[in-house]
Amino acid sequence: MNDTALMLLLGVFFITIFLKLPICFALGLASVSTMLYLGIPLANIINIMYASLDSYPFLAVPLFMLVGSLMNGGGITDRLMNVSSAWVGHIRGGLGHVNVGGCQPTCRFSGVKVSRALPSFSGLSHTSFSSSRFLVARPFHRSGCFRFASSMTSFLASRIAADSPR
Amino acid sequence: MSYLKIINNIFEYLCKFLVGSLLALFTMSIVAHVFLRSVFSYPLSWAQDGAVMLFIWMVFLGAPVALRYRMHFAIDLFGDKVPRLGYVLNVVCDLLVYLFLYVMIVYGIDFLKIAHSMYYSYLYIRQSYVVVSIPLSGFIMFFMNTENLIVDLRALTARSLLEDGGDVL
Repeated sequence: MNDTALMLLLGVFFITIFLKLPICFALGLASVSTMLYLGIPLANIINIMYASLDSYPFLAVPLFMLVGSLMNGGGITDRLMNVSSAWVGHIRGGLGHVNVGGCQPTCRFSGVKVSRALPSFSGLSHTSFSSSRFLVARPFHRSGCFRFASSMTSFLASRIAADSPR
Repeated sequence: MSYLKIINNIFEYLCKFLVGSLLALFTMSIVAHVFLRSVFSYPLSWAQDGAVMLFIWMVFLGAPVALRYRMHFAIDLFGDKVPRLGYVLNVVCDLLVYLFLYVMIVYGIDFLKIAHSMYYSYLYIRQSYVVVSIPLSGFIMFFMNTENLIVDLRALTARSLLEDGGDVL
């Protein structure tokens, strides 16, 4: 790939992202424009879309999301968050601590090491903002910044859990 | 209610029904596969292929519903600070989505012809039966996106009428 193609790929991607185009379509349009520039047949893009989904390990993603929503519906995540909040919520920077603490149990019972981030993304980070009882009374759930922070701390928690000895 | 909305409601109902059914089948096949593999050491090879097929159908049937309700992830840099620009950007985004839908439909059908000669290894089903979900999804998304575009255009024109002191109703 030459420099122009790379610039085109990144340029189209970031410009369309800034235009508030959904990220999936932004990725698609960036790829389409680069493939047109390089003269690659566009049927390949469909091939890649299909081939990337055609993998067995990838099936864990919807199952993790299913487990996350079942845990939300059943109230397990609320209880996990309450426990975590009672343990570490009072320490300064409680949002991060509660997230890390709440993610530890889910990280423990998921068997696959690399997929530990997913329950925290799908289940806990959602619940932490849908209930958000451990936060103060301000409407934090409306804040994209805090949503991002929660996701990131959940992700970090999963990494910490993955690296910590059993 | 406009015809487009009725068509989209039917598509949405069908997509939701199919995605729900496929998710149930998919979960059952995975559970059966894992259970038989770990307990009886007898892996169901066909369940592996079947689950992947159901997953791909699920993804591409779920995408139009997400598009209709604008649930695809997007980054909102401007927020409500520049409302007029927001309305214009919505229309521009809807038009850009059409470009990708064109690729999905036209080149999806092209790839369908190639995939018709390829088979899944265990189930021995033609891969085109799965790949057909891509142009089909693009086709349904075309209708969903048209509805979104009409809504956005109406919002944009209503907004400009308001700013010019005109009466929307």
